[in-house]
Amino acid sequence: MVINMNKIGVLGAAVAAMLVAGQAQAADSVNAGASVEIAAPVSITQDTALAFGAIGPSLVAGTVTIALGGGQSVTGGVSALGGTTAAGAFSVTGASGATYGVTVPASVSLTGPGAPMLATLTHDGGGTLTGGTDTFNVGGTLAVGVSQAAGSYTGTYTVSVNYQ
Amino acid sequence: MTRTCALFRRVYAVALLAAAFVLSPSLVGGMVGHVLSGWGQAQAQSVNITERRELNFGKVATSSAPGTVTISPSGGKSTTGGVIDLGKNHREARFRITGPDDATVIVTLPTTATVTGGGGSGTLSNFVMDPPNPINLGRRGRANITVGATLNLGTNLPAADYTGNFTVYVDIQ
Repeated sequence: MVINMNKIGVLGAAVAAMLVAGQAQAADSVNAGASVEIAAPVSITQDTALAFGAIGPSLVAGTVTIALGGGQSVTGGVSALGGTTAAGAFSVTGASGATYGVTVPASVSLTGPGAPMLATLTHDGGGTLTGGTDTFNVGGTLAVGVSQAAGSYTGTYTVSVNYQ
Repeated sequence: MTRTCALFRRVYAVALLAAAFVLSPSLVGGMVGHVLSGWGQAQAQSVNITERRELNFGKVATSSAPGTVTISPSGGKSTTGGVIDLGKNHREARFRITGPDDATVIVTLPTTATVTGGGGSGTLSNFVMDPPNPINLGRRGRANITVGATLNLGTNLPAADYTGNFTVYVDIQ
């Protein structure tokens, strides 16, 4: 009987040990970090509107052009008559060192008292936002019709910038 | 017949005693401590995981379209949608696992996590690790893993440093 009890004790201990082993599964966890730096969105403002100045039409069609540097020139029957002339000027702000691109429509229609006039547009800009800022200009060539009606002609065009 | 009855009684007694061990934690502890202490210690070796480097998505810009930025387990960075990669210091996460020699472990990555900053937030998903499960700790009882994930970003998020946490679990298989 004593021997039997010893056997029973060993068996019982083995069963108990297996149960302990089953509960002793090793595990661990770590709380890790994640981060991202989100840059300021790129934005644009117009500093100066594109202005072709005052011109005089004639019986011959012609053009008036504003260069990116702001200089005015005329062709054909168009005469330059002074007034305000300026290239469109824009300021871009965003993440320092980021590169950006400029999108400008190919042309814009100017409407006024007479027939609409079409201005084809040129631009520079795009590149690196050194210090987080940059500027660029928009110029254009305005086609002036024969005996274009006198008055003020205006139009709007949308310029957009984006990170690249 | 008599032998059978005796055997049955013995088995019954063993079962009863085993049940007593199960129901009595102090008795179990006592038996393990005295009779099987060496074996018990061998089973009690633990596994440990530590972060060696945090997951860093570097610098990005958001726009009028949502998008994602992904860091692969090898540290590669890619973007989709309206998210623009602006480079800078992106890194995959690194972890070290230590445990018993030649143990095989299973690492469990989260399914989602959040980073916040500047009043905005982004959601991490698609956690990926290298090497994949199961991972053998080898003769030195040690393994390094790298972890990448995808960060989902909304539109025109405020500029800021966004931070968050995610939990990685390791279990001995």
